[in-house]
Amino acid sequence: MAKAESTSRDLRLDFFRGLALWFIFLNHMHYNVLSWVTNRNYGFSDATEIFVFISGYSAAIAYGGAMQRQGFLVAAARILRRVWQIYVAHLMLFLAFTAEIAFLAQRFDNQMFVEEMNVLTFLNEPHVTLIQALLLKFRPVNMDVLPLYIVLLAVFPLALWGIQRRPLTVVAASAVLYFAARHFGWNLPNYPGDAGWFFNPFTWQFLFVLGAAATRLPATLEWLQRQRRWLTPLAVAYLVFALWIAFSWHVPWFEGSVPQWLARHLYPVDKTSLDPLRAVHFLALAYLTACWVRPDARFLAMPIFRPLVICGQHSLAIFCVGIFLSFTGEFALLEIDGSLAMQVLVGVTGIGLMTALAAILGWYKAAEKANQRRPQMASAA
Amino acid sequence: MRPRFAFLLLATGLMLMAGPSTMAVGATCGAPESALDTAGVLPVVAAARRAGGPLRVTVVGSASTGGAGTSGPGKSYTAKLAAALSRRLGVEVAVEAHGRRGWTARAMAEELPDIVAADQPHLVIWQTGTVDAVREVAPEAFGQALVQGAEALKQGGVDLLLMDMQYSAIGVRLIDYGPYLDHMSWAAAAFGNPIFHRHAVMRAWAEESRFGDPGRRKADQESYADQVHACMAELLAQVITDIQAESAPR
Repeated sequence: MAKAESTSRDLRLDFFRGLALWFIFLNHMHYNVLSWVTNRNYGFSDATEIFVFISGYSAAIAYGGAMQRQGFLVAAARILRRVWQIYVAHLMLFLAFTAEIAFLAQRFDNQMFVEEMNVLTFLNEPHVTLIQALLLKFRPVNMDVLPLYIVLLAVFPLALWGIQRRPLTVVAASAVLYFAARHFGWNLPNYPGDAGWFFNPFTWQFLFVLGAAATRLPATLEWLQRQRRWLTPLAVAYLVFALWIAFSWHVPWFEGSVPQWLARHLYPVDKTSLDPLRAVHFLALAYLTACWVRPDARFLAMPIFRPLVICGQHSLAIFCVGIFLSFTGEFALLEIDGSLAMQVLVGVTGIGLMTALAAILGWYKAAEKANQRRPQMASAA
Repeated sequence: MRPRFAFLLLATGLMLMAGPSTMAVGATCGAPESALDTAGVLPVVAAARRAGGPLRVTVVGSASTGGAGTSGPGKSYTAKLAAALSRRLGVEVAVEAHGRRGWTARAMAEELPDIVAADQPHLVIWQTGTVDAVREVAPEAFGQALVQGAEALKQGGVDLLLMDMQYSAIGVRLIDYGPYLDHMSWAAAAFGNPIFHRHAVMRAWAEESRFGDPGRRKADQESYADQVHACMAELLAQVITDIQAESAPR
């Protein structure tokens, strides 16, 4: 999400983050048939893991330089300014969501759904709900990623300071926090209900820190690369195992193929606290990707994948627009037509709009840069 | 969670393209086979049927199990289930319904032993998930309640059929059912219990507006609910009959 400025930009980051953004957009629409292509159907982890890990990695690149050149305070101030921007973006999305819900609520008046209608009580008590929303405790459906990102980034100055000195120590501390939070059930409070945050920051921080620390551990990464003779088959075997389990959830054909004893050991595969099955699944996926897709892989620069790369380069804006478009798309599916063709149309249009916006942002940024250079040239003349 | 339905949709689409799809229970109450498919067994029901009945069924659930929105007490799916099931199984069937508004899975799990002791059923149909999802009960705690209930029934020698949430287009926009649906399928897989995928069935119906638009007039809404409940009873009876036929009696 942070802007990584570098001449030798690793296009893999942009590519896979763009992919994660598209997947998140599709997954945020209930029952859009296109969401069938996203990775969550083929294993334990989904686009969120990709997004959080890459966000950690690029935040370390984006602010690491400033912290080394200008010191802790300046870098921290820049990070906190970013936190504020994300908070504002989140509140904008909340406003859009609430407007849509208030509109729909008047039609959701059928005694058959008397239990379901209770979810609308928040509209009757804005004096409570709005404050809970400002405190990030009340987060309607699918508005959980940005609050997680806000919290992770808010404490990132300290993490980054540590990562620049003792990356492995910070990773170890992060792992301890991860397991402790899972063991003791630590989470931030939620409203209403006792579910806690859908993405528990105390556990999800692990992937973010891992991503950030990876920027400072080239030797460790190289060592991992050299172990591919035995790590690759292991990772592939794990992914195949996860594929089978995931199919038993989603594909009627495979339902019941998991024996009861195994089911009792595996389940639940909890998303809220980043179940180790999920974390390992993502790491296996990331390992194989890093081994097989080199930074100079030719397909990364191919024009057909350009839309993904530019979406990944403007991830905060594109993420927010993606969430907004998923609201709008769902609304269209609900109000106009929910047919298969319409679902495809909504999905493709949304991705087209995300790409168009990313292209405009890229153009604008380039124009701004050119503008900054011109006056200097004029004064030199 | 959702991907299951994306798949169902894909499957339904393919079937429609391929020609007449496999619909069950006649044209009015039919649902895609993929929505009715479930793993799990009902050995106690199979044994009761083999013994010539009578079969005792207890339904535990929230407002829909209480018949909310229907035009009267005889119109709920629980009221229609005994006749539908008896017709198929060829034995006498008695259904006891315990539907309470706002009843969470945890509270139901705690009361299940008492209910089972009083009703002495062969089969418990446990309809749950909606109240927990609406109140945002921690999904983990919801899953634990399911496991607690499933374990107690297994030890008590009672069959269990889980039944998930109703579907409405606006409902899924407002409520995140995903984690709760996941926990239901995990609990079912861990104890070999079948699930009645009411959510998928109602979604398929909504897709093709099988019963039209419920509208905003009370009478229209009630007749809509009556039709949904009547068909739900038929499909439930069909699923139970199919599963017990494949289960070795115990």
